[in-house]
Amino acid sequence: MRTRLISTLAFLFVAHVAGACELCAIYNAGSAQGQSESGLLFTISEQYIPYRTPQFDGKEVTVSNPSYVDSSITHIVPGYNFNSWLGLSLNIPLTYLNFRRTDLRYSLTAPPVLFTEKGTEVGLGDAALIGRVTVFQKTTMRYGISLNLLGGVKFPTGDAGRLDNEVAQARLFQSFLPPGTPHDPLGHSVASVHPHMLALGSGSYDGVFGLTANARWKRWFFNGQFQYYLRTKGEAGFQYGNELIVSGGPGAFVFLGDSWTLSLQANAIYYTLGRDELIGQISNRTGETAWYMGPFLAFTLGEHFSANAGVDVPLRIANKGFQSVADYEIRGGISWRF
Amino acid sequence: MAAPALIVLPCRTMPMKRMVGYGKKSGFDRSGWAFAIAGLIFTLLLRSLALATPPTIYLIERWSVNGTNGVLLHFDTDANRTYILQATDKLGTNALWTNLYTAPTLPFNDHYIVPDLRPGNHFYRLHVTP
Repeated sequence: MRTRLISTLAFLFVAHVAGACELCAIYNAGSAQGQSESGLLFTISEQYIPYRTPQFDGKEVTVSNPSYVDSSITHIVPGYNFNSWLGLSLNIPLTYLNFRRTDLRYSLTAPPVLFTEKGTEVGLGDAALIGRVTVFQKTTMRYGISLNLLGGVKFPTGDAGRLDNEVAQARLFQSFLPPGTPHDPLGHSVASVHPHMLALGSGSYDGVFGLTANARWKRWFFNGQFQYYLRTKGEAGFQYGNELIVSGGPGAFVFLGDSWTLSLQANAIYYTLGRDELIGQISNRTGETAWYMGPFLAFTLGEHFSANAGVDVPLRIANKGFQSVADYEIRGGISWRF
Repeated sequence: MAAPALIVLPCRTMPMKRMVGYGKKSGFDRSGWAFAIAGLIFTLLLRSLALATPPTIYLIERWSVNGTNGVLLHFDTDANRTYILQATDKLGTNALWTNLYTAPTLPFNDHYIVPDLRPGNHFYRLHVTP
């Protein structure tokens, strides 16, 4: 505590001596975002994505009463930095899904029934424990470079019950076919929103890997992130496709106060989701590759508080099969470093 | 229970004839262009119809659930067309066809399997629009 007070005073002194010390504020911003200092860090972030655009094999299609799902996920993330190069955080997602879907329900004894269900799914998602190791860091007033490796495990804490229903329908449809008939395991479904999109959890232990790179020179910076989710078999043998997210872009600190900063970044995202597997077969009606772009704002106040917000607009979404894809993505969050 | 007698009756014959374009050796006048465009549209229309899958119940297989015998009817569908699986107990000019199952109109091709465990013998046909 005393050390922090001294460093704060020293920082204020330097800031005073330097007049409108832009780099001091920038330097401080990294600390508020928990990039360098040890201690407890608490973050709440929100991600909202409406999946309301029906697409078939990458092309938008028109359907009457299209299925949709509006996804709102609040991430509660307590974390602890043991020192400047090692940290651990727990990601606890609270999921709210508002949806409407029209699909077929097959049965053994009667023609399939076309039904529409509308409702919400609310609850705890799959929590993840993620460690951070800073493999390289060099920070001065004028410039800074850091490289972090991330790794962790996602636990099956979310309710995966909807996967049971999807797999049961897939097995039933398969039982109708002569043995050996090639077919898609989701051949029973005509929906653009599948039950696996409404499951709060996967029922699987998954690997989470990441790499973040940050570079700054005076007011300018470049951030880049790489995330990979390695999926394993989960509820009822359903295995979600692996995910790869590469994002980042150039930015600048556009406003600098004595104790606060506001930066604006042009953020681009490349996202690819592999095909899901169920009843031992890979479904060609799942998976997508998408490109997004949008502005990302980050605000820091003092050494402890930071906030951010961003909008990502899809440039192109190349999906497989019939799916409701994202219209846009809004995200934001606040952090407090104790 | 005796296995039901089955028959597949396509409801509609799809035109398979394609019309080729035409033109004059030297320039068109206004009516010539209009005629050419109309011909092109007609050709494309016929081509799209020719490419459409004829409505066919391509597989009927025996199906039994808990000692009740019946059949499974398989058929493929084209995008943006409505398919109705119809059934009747007897054929004839006064046959009464009832709708057994209506497949939803979707923007992609698909495959449907319809179980029919009703007792007795049935004839089936597939009706498609447009």
